[in-house]
Amino acid sequence: MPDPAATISIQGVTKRFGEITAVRDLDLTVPQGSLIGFLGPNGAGKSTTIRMIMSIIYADEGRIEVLDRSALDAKDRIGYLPEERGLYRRMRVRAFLRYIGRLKGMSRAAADASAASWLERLELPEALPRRCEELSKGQQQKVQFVAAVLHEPDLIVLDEPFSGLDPVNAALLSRVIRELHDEGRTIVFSTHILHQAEQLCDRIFLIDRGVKLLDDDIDDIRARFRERIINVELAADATLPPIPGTRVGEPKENGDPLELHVDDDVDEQSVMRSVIEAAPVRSVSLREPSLDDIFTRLVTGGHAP
Amino acid sequence: MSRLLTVAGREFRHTVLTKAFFIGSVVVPVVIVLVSIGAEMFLKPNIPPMKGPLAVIDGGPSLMVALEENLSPPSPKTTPASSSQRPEEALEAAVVEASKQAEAEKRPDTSQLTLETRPASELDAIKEGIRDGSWVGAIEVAGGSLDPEAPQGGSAIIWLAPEAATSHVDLLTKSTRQAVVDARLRGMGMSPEMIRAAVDRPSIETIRIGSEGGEQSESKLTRYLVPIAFMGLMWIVVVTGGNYLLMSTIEEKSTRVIEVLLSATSPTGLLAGKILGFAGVSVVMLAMYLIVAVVMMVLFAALDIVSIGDVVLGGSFFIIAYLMMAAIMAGIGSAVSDITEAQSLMGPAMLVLMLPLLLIPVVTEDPNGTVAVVASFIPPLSPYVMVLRIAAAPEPLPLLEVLLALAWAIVCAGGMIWAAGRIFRVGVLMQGKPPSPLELLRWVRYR
Repeated sequence: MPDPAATISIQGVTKRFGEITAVRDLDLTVPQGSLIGFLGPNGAGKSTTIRMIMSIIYADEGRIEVLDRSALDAKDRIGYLPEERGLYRRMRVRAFLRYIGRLKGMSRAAADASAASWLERLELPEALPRRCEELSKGQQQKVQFVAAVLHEPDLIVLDEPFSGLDPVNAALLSRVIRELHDEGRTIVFSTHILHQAEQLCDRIFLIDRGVKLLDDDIDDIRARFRERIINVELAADATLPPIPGTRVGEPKENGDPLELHVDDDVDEQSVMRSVIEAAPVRSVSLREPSLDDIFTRLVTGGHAP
Repeated sequence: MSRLLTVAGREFRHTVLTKAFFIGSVVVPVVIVLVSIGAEMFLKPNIPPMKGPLAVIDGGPSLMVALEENLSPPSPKTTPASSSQRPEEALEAAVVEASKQAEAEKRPDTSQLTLETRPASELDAIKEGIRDGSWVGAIEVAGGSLDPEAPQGGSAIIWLAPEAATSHVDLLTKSTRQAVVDARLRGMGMSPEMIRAAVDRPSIETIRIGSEGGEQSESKLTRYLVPIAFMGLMWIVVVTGGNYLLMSTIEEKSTRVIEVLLSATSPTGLLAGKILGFAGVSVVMLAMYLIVAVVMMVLFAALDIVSIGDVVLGGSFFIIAYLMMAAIMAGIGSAVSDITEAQSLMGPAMLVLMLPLLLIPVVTEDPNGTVAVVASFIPPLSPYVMVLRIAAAPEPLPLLEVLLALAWAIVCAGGMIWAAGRIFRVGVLMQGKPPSPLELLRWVRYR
């Protein structure tokens, strides 16, 4: 049964291209108002999943509901920035955005007003009367983003939105995505840049070779993948006596913190207190797994968390 | 529906309201017509008159008389238009008259040309005179050429100055030939005028007796030219419209804008919008050509050589021909990534599309023959062949056969559009190597 509070509900979806299974028996729920990152290596099935959500291609098996209806019927309420981006080269930006707005069910006047407002927001108002081919790659990308959000959609799907953007424009786009999320819109985006996903997302969906590896809140994922490792930086010439319930990890390079691996039945906080009491230290911290770590562990080291 | 119209509107505006379309489809045809008229009116070749003496070497009296007759300026002669002429006869007569007029205008003025007979001994001196301009030229008819049994019809030499105009050469050649023949006839006691009058071919009116007793007159114009013009016009417009669709699809695919469009509308909706938009483009092109055709027909009072029924059927087959072409072009455009790849698939497609042009002689000769009837049911030839048959048939084609061909063509066009839609939705998202024909068939079967 689809979750009534879900913006996207995917149940048992499989998609094959000839002999290749791009997505296998996928279940995924994207709660309303969430900002979810679709992560996975190249060819994992992210874009295929997104294209199925957008009804650009259709699942061989399973069911997809978007905004409580078939995705095809919900197209006017979805904004989409595809990975393979493009514009009509000879078309003027105003005409292009008006065309997309009209395709999304807007009136001509509403599309024009929204296009002008969005380009202002993205610090590109001068682009409106220009031909698309006259814009730089970054400017074109902003125009494509505007085409995705022009009609104030409830669900925004962004496939690799940061690729090709310089750091300043990537930060600007991050800010806008966050603002859209704060307005209550559900946002799905795929990316290879994990630290951006880490900073932006409140939820992660990780897929590899068409199989879902993860789908959860980011805090829950971190808790689940916590490595129970305490990093200790000792004061100069200090040595750390053995701490009960721990073992010292293999030393890496000079200057790297000492790693204490905490046994499963031992409380990490009591170990940290014991460390401080046992030797002069410069810092003691519980190591948080990054998305990079989790991604690498799951994708390269087997799938079980 | 509104999305479909939005897509159609964009395709129409961004094709018709462009300089390229305006220049290619409006300016160029208009310029061609204007240049043709202007050239006819103002750029007439400057034909120098033949002025001065022309020597006839050893010319006997009969040859001199014949040459005088053939080289003297023709007396103006006009053929009065008959009020009883049918429109197509009037048009045909006007074409013949215009052709005669053009021919007459190319003839040099010979009013100041004089013929002088000279002995062969003076030929060298005359040649000098030709060089210095004191003689126009010289004609030397070989001995025995006036004999009716002269071998190979006899022979003659025409001596002219190096700068002599081609029109002078043509006139002297033609006149000498005719003069030799006329002189021979006179030598045999016959009048060349009477012989010419006797061999003047009569005008023939062809009247076909209808199977139900009616009679219908036909002319060469309605029998051949009108059908070819109609089908040719349809072919040009349909191929051009289809080509626009191909280019637009390739552009959207190669610039990757296709996925943005597919996020707003279904592949079927997008394809339908494109087909509708370029149908509008084709109709604009057709309308422009038809306006010219109608103006010409009104000018020649030949408007009723086409019946309303023919127009309705022609229009229906035009739509079907366009849909078939659109299906082919959409399929090709969606399957390839750029125009170079498209050319490899366009080759076989164009071969098929050229077939109606190759069938013109066969179908106009026998509109109810086996080839014509069979081709009427083979897509994508059927609409072109049917238009050709309808226009060329001396009697209306059997209604049942027309309706059957129309219905079958509609079914085939529908099937082709359906298959193109299946290929389109798979192909537009594919990049890389263009598919083989077998892969295209597989795409049709994809879910």
